[in-house]
Formats: sequence, structure tokens, C-alpha cells
Amino acid sequence: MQRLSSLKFTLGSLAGLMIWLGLGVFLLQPNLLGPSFQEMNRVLILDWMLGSAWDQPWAPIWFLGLCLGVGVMLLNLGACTLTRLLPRLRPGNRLRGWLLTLVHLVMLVVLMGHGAEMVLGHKQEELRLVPGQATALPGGLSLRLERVRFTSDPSVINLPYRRARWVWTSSAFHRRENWVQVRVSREGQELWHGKLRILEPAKVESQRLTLAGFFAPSEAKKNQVGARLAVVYNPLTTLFFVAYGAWVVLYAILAVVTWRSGPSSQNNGQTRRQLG
Amino acid sequence: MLTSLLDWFYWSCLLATAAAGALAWWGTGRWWRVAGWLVLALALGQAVTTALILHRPPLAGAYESALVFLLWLSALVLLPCGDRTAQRRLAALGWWTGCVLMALFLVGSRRFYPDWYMYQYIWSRLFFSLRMAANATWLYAALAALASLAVDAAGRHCLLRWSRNFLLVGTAVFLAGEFVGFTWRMQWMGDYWCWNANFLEATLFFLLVTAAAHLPPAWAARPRLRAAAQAVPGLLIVTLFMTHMFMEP
Repeated sequence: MQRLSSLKFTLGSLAGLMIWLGLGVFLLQPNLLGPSFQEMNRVLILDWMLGSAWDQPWAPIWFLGLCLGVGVMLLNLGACTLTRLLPRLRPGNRLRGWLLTLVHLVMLVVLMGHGAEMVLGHKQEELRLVPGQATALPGGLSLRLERVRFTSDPSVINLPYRRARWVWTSSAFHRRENWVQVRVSREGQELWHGKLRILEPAKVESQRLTLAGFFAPSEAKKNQVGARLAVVYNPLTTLFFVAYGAWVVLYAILAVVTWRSGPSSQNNGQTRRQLG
Repeated sequence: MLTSLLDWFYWSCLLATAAAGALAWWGTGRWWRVAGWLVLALALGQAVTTALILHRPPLAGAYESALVFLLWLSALVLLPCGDRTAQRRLAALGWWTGCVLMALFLVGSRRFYPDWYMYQYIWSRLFFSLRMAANATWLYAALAALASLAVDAAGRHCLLRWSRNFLLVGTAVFLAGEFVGFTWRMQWMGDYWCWNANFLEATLFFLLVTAAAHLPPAWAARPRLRAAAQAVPGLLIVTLFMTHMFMEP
């Protein structure tokens, strides 16, 4: 337990994770595993792992390695909380000790939120529909794209993100003037009918419907425009955001308290030795 | 008119940062502080002129990032750290770093990023602004750690503590930026997380700073090792960030 909670173990696990993340950044290049990572973003990680992931096994192997690294870090975090942080907490103890413990515990909740986002609920990103097309959603729901209104120049519609940023300027693309009209129904009975705009999602039952952008289904017929939609539901999203917000606030308070508390006793001793 | 004014501010910042750094490191008296306020005024003028040209705050791209970093550094180095010699060393390093950032554009292009429609959205503006503020704060923390190698024991202790405090402040600002970024991504794409290079790099940055804050006591007691540990995150993060910006198509 002492070894598991040691700071050397912490540094080792952090270094391993950093190397693994650096490897991930390298593997994400389009000519390496870029397409597999794009696929990873389209659905829940659990669905991806049980489905298309193994068409290109290096991507899921990298992901499992990342999970292993996070697991080791969590083991260290848990051991450190149990053996170092919690035993120091007593009534009347210094605020900084409580804050340090809380920052570590809330980080655990944030990581659990990330984990939940990968396995719970439903996720379909890059759902491409043209007007008149429909798709089935969980819970017997059906989503139909009824109409697309795209007033901007359609000739640049299929540009990749980095190139599009130079073309889709605020004068060339008017976000509120471009929208899609969708209908959500269950067994023929309409549940919701309305417009979706970029950055203005709608919630139908528990599903969040989002318009991510537009696309031209054929390079030859760029005047025909379809919608890139996302349908996402995660029961723990609110909990994740609350925990993350609390984490930010706790970090900020910890920074202020550390500032006011001055040097730690260990560093004081060190300075006295140096000055002496 | 505004473009010419920006040119003037750019060259003034380049020269003033070099001169202020030299005054702080080698000069006597209090002229270095006057030079520091002048650098801050020029850096502010450069940022405001850019905002007037773009009709938005400077948010992304190599030159916009560099001028925001310079503005943050110019303000932070004027904060009193509690030790006069240490303060002068830190200020000099801060201004010279600002000078290097500006000098990059003697070779690189000072082009602005386009007026992407997403930059009108408050969450995206907040995200980019907080990310740059966090990077600048970490860079300042790194410079404080480096400056600790050039002062006596009391100054070293003061600067290492100062550096640690700003690592924490930078992390709080960074996490606030991540919170805002998650919100933006969820509103735009449906989910708050994405498996792409930007998200992985951001996580890597956080782990790098976290590692610097978890040195074993025996290592933290060695000033050079502690200074290196606290300097690496800010220097590496800003180098990677600027490289990324210069490599943008």
C-alpha cells in the first residue's frame, strides 16, 4: 500500500500516461489511425469496441492501453487518498488539507463521468441525412429530416474543418439563417417537430438533437444539401458538468489558500538549512 | 491607418521588451520598472489595435497568441514577488521571452486568423481566451523557476514558491477553459468529448503540470531539480502550442 501511494509511483504512472497520450497524438494522423479515431467519435466507445473497432486493431489496442494507464493512476490516487490525505483530516485541520483531499476526490468523480460517457446511454454523431430521409433511434423513436434551408454558398460545403474555418466566416455564413426542420415520432405519433440550428440543440424525451453542420451528398450536385446531425443521451452528463465545475472552483480556492499559506513546512526547513 | 498603427506597436514591443530586459538584468535604480510599464502599455496597445482590426478579441493563430502571451507576461512580471533581486531577474526573463515571441514574426507571417463564424459565439471566445491565459500563466511560472537559478538562497526560495503558486493558478484557469470548451463542444457537436489531437494534447498538458506538483520530498528539496520540474511544463506547453499554431494551414 505504501508503494502504491508513493509519489514516485505517481510520477511513474503520470509519465506512462503522458507517453501514451503522445503516442495517440502521433497515431491520429490521417494516414495512420485517423479514420479509426473518427469512427470512435461517432458512437459510444462500448458500441465501438463491440463492433467496428477491430477492423483496425491498433486503435482499440491503443485505447485499452490508455484505460490500463488510467487504471494504474486511479489505483495510486485511491491509495494516496486512503493512506496520506484522509488520515490527516481532523476537525480544526488546516483548510488546505481538506481542499487537497476534495480536489483528489472530485477528480475521481470527473474520471468516473468520463467513463460513464463511454458506456452509458446512446450516441450517434455524424448522422448524415438528406431531406425526406429518416432513421431509427433508441426507444422506438424515429427521426425524419423534413427540410434544409441553406442560404450560404454551397460550393464550399464539403471542406474539411481546418480549411472550412478560412471560408466559413461570419460574413459568408449566417448561422441563424441556415437551419433544418426535423420531426421525431414514435409509431407514427409525432413527439416533436421543429427547427434545429448550429449551436441550438433541442431535447426530445431524453435525447439531445444537435445540428453539427451541413454536407453535399454529391460533389456533382452541390446545391442539394443534407444535414450532419448528432443524437446523444448520457444519463450522467449533468453530474459530470457539476463535478467538473466543482473541480474548477476547488482548484481556484486551493490556489488562493496555497498562496496565503506561504511555504510548506518541508520547504521552510529546506530554506532554513540553505540560509543557515 | 490601424494596420500602420499595429506595425508601429509591433516594432515598439520588439525593441522595448529587449531594452526593458537589459535594464532589469544589468541596470541600476528603478528605471527598469518604468520600462516595464512602458512595455505593458505597448503590449496593450498592440492587443487593442488587433481587436479593433478584427472586431473581436485576439483568439487563435500564431501572431494573435504571441501578442496575448506578451500582454499577460507584461502584466504578470510587474507583480511584486517579495524579493527585489529575484523580481528583477524574473522581469528580465519575462520581457526577453516576450521579445523572442515577437521576434518569431521577423521570419513568420503576422497574418490573422479569419473571422470564423464560431468566433462570434461567447463559449468559443471564452475557451480560446482562457486557454491562452492558462498557457501564459504556466509560462510565467516556468520563468520564475528558471530565474531561481540566478539568485541567492532567499531569492531562490521566494521564486520557487512564486512559481508553484502560478502553476496552480494556471491550472485553475486551464480547467475553467476546459469546462467552457466541453460546453461549446456539446452545443456544437452533441457530445462534450472528442478523440482528436487537441483533446489528447490538452490532457497531456494537464498531466505535465500535475507531475510538477507531485515531486517526492527528497527531489523537491533539491532546488535545481525542483526548478527544472516547475520550468518544463510551461516551456514545453508554449513551445508545442506555438509550433501547432505555426503549422496551421
